[in-house]
Amino acid sequence: MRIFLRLFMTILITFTLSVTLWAGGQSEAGSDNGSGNAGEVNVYSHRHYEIDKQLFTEFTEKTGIKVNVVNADSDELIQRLKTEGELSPADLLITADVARLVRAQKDGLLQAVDNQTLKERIPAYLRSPNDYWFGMTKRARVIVYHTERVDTEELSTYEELTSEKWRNRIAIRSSSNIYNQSLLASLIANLGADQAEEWAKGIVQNMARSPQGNDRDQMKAVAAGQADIAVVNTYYVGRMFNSDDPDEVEVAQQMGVFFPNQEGRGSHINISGGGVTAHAPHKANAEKLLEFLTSDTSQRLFAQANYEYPVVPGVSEAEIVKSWGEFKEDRLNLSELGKLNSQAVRIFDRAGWK
Amino acid sequence: MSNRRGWLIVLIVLTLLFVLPFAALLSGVFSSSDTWGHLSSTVLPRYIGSSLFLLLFSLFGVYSLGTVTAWIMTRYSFPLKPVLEVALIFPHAVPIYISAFAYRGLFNYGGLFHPIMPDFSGPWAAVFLFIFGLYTYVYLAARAMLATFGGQFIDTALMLGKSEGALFRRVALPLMRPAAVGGAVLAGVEVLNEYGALKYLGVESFTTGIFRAWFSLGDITAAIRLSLLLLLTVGILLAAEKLQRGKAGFTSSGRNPSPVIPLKIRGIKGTLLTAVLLFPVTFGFFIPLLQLLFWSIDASLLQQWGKLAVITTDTLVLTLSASVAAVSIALLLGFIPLLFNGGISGSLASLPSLGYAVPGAVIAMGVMRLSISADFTINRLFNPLISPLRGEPLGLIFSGSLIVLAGAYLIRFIAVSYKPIASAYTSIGGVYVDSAATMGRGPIASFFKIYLPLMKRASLFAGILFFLDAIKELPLTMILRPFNYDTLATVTYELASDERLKEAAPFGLILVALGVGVTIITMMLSKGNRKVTQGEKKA
Amino acid sequence: MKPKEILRTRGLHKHFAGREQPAVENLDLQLTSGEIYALVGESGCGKTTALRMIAGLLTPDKGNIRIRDREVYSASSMVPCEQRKVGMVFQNAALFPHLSLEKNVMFGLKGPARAQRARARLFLEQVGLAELRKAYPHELSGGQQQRVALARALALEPDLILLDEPFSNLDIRIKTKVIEQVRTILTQVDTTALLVTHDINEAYHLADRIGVMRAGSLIQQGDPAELYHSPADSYVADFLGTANEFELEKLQAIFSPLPAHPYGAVDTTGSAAQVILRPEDIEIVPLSQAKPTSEKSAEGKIEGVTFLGSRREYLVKAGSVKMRVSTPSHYEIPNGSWVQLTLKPEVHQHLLRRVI
Repeated sequence: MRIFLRLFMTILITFTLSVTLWAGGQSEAGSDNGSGNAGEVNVYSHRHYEIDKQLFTEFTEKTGIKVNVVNADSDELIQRLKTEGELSPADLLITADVARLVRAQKDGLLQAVDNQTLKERIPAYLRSPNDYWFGMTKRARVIVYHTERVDTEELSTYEELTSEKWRNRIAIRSSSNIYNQSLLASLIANLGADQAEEWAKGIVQNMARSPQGNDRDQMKAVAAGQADIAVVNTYYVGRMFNSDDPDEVEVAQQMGVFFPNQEGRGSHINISGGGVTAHAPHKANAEKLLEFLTSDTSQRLFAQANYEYPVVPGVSEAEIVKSWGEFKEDRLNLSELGKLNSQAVRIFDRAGWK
Repeated sequence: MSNRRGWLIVLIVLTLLFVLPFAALLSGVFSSSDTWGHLSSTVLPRYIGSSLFLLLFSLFGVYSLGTVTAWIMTRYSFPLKPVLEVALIFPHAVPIYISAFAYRGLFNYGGLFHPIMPDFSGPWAAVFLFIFGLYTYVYLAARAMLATFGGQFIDTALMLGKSEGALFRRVALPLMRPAAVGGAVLAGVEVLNEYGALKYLGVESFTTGIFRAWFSLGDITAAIRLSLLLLLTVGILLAAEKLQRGKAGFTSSGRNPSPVIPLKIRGIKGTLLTAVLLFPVTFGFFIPLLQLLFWSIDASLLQQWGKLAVITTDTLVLTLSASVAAVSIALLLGFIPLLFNGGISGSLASLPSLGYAVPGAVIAMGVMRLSISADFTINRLFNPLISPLRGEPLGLIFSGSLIVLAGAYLIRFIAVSYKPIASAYTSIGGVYVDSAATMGRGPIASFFKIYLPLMKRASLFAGILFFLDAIKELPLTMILRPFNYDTLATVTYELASDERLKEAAPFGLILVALGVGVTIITMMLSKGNRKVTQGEKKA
Repeated sequence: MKPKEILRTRGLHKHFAGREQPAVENLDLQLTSGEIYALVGESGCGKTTALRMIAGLLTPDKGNIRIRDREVYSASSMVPCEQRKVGMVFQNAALFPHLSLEKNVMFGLKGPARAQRARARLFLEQVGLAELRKAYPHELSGGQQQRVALARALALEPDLILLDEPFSNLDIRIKTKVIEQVRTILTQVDTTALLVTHDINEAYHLADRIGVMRAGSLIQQGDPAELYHSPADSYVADFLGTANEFELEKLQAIFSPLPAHPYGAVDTTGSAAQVILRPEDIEIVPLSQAKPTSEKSAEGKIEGVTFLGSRREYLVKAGSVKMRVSTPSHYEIPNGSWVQLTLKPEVHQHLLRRVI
């Protein structure tokens, strides 16, 4: 029996040692910064688009810095950063929404970056007032309508969507979706919490079906006649319009894009963006990657391939995006959306928005 | 025996490893939670209601479909029966979240069924998927019971002049009940564990609640409390099953096997039976499969060939290693109680199997907490020594590693491989340990030289069952996977939830194909097993 | 030369948790070289527990065990089973099902494979199964399996062979034959063996000495005939065969006139003394053929007859007592006959030994 115990202990110790060495070896490979090699950068990203991967590859080719990516929900990534604490390997957090960046900042997961290039290229309202995060692309949350069943005359503002005439005609996704949370946050900021809650309840009443699917699915519901209008992000329309799937193109062709609140504060916009993590082991590389992603070339690619709005002024948009025309943006400081996020979630829960 | 104390220590250490993540979870339950009040007053009743709805209707359907198919397959013989024998189990190989997106594609705009019904979503759609995806749990258990012990009861009832309908209701159903309820409980755990499909269909449940509390509200304490509530529900299910088993009139123990000889049905009636049984196979397997195939061809498989190959290989390497580990641990867990004539060591050894009743998301949270605190401890202890040598701190060692992911699979599914191995040990018995000891050979020799060769078949079986479950696992994998790492399950789910159904299809297809392949191997193995033992007896 | 002591246990004690009674209480056993000893008793009497403690498969609570010259268990030391040099044959033979007979015998052997194989063959020959050495256990009959198990145990040249109910699963028809074979083998290799069984006939066939256990204690041990004819108490008497039990006074009343008895009617504890008479201790003759008067005869009436193959057993009522009396089976007295009962002379002589 002693022999067996000894055997067991030996296996256990060998195992632990080899794991330790293996893990050590791994980060060893990535920590050659000082010795000439360009090293690596670890990215936690919510954006799981092909174009991002393509840009990362280009970045590696250009700088020699290897990009490691974990793709997951921003919420998941933030939790992961939190639990990992100072041991986290992550250098850069990229989310698809500003509220998550603000939450990460509030939880102490990001660090301020004093980078002149970034500050010069990105307009002030699209980045953190104290340099914790930076916008990479811009998207508007708009109303799409079925061109045959709805007249643009009928549409005006987000607020107006709660009126009687839209009863059972609106398709909109779940309240666990961050874009909806940010939209509601902007309403709280502009109208106050009470009116925002009334608004949420009004929308729930007017829903054509219980919330499900993503923005693409909302447009399909409109095309299928289940609903007449939907609230979606602009780039979804662009992507469907240029899809490989003829069915999706057919859906998109029936949609019209309407920018709400043009007479007043402007349409609600949001960014996807990134921030350097508080304990980033490769901080310099993370900044380099951010700079690269805000370069004209990258911005153009984001716009062309993903139908998002560039954050850098002067970079041109995709053809389809241009065809919707210029619009007035709600210039509310984006960090507000983050601050109001958890209030928005609670209002959704109270309003019974699934 | 005092000289076997070492083995007891090994057993205790192993069991502790399996139980620790739950302890790590429990330790978090009393921390303060700022959203618990809000959750319990707004959405919690909805989650409970929705989960109960799903449980109630799904289990009713699963139970009915499972017992009826078991009855028909046991009692009658009809055209195509050998084919159905295999095909009826295929739905088990299709993860619910995959059939969810296949069906949704069919009913969506542009889908084949769209003109008939424009929408496939909500709780009823989920119930539909659960029934046709999970009935196999009841079917397999009930059929085994009926086929083994039913003969004498059916013969007696026939002599008393009972009709076929009465045979089913008054003889077969009560006889199948304990096994069928056991299967239904497992199906219930699967219902509670489902995450991907429900999120996709817009149905709320406990598991979505856990994710919402943790991620959307950032409140881990609330998430832990929700998981414990879920555990409680599972506990109640299990207890109810124990209770009904205790009261059951028919139990398999102490009964002589009495196989059922099937009644031949030909002509229209026979064809009708075949048609009836084709229903579950069609809805649970062929429709999703054909949809996946159709999309895969459409998406021109070749374009993604490289990615497909990489992810399939990664998935296989991970799942196979986990399966090997699971079998090894199950072999050890089952062996040690033999040295002590069961007793407390037997209970200890079966403790890790409880993980099967715990939803993947809950296990993932426990494992993550545990691995993080292990990493912090290691860093605190060794950094002063190692940092100067390496030029940087150790960093994360366990967290986000494949070893921890594989370990989490073990915790979740070890029961699946422990069960066949433990029952093989029981049928062999502990006498060879004593016998070897009197020949001067200790437990190690008897483990390697006697039991291991005798356990070959059971081990293979155990490994296959584990593989089949682990390869489908989604929520746990989503939470624990490392950098740049995807499994077939996560890719399929991510692409599908982004409505990129066609791109998702090839990955889902491979996953289903692997499952079907493995299922067929299992069937052949258990058939071959019977033949081999018979052959041995004759010789 | 004094025979060598092979096994000695002193004060062996085992109490399983949760049981009211100890399984084995204060057991002293002693086996000398070449001796075959049978420990008998009903199931649950503790005999198997004792055997397992001697084998090292179970740890005693108290006591010590000595095998040959080595203390294998005491309060301070414990030699594990695999180092005790004991061989054991189990109830179901416990042959490894995936190994051939030869490999089964080789399992415990050390050294080069060729030597092992030769040795396995030698011992399989010993039990008469050498030609089957490539066969697998399931191809053998129960008796053959037990012989292989014995060969397997013997091949290790143990100091002591332990036999744990090895014949209890055998068909009654072949049981005696197998036991005889085992006895021959054990005598040939001159091994010391300890048999545990609940069947006294196995013990008679195999053992030089028998010990009777009851509720954890050894009640009586000795050579079989001694136990049979002079049991220590009525339990032992019953266990070893059919027994008629009388109070001494009643016996005197029936077999009147008995000569003045030298034994006294009361035993040392003050209770009425009991006498055990075996069925064959009593001579039975039909009254019609009876000799006129015998000093020690009694009269009785047959109330039942059982034909037992080699014997015939009569249930006879004589005065206030009933007794079983046996004769060779060809000798027949019809049921209901009046008979004359006489104590056989050798019984009369040693009646003292039959008092319990």
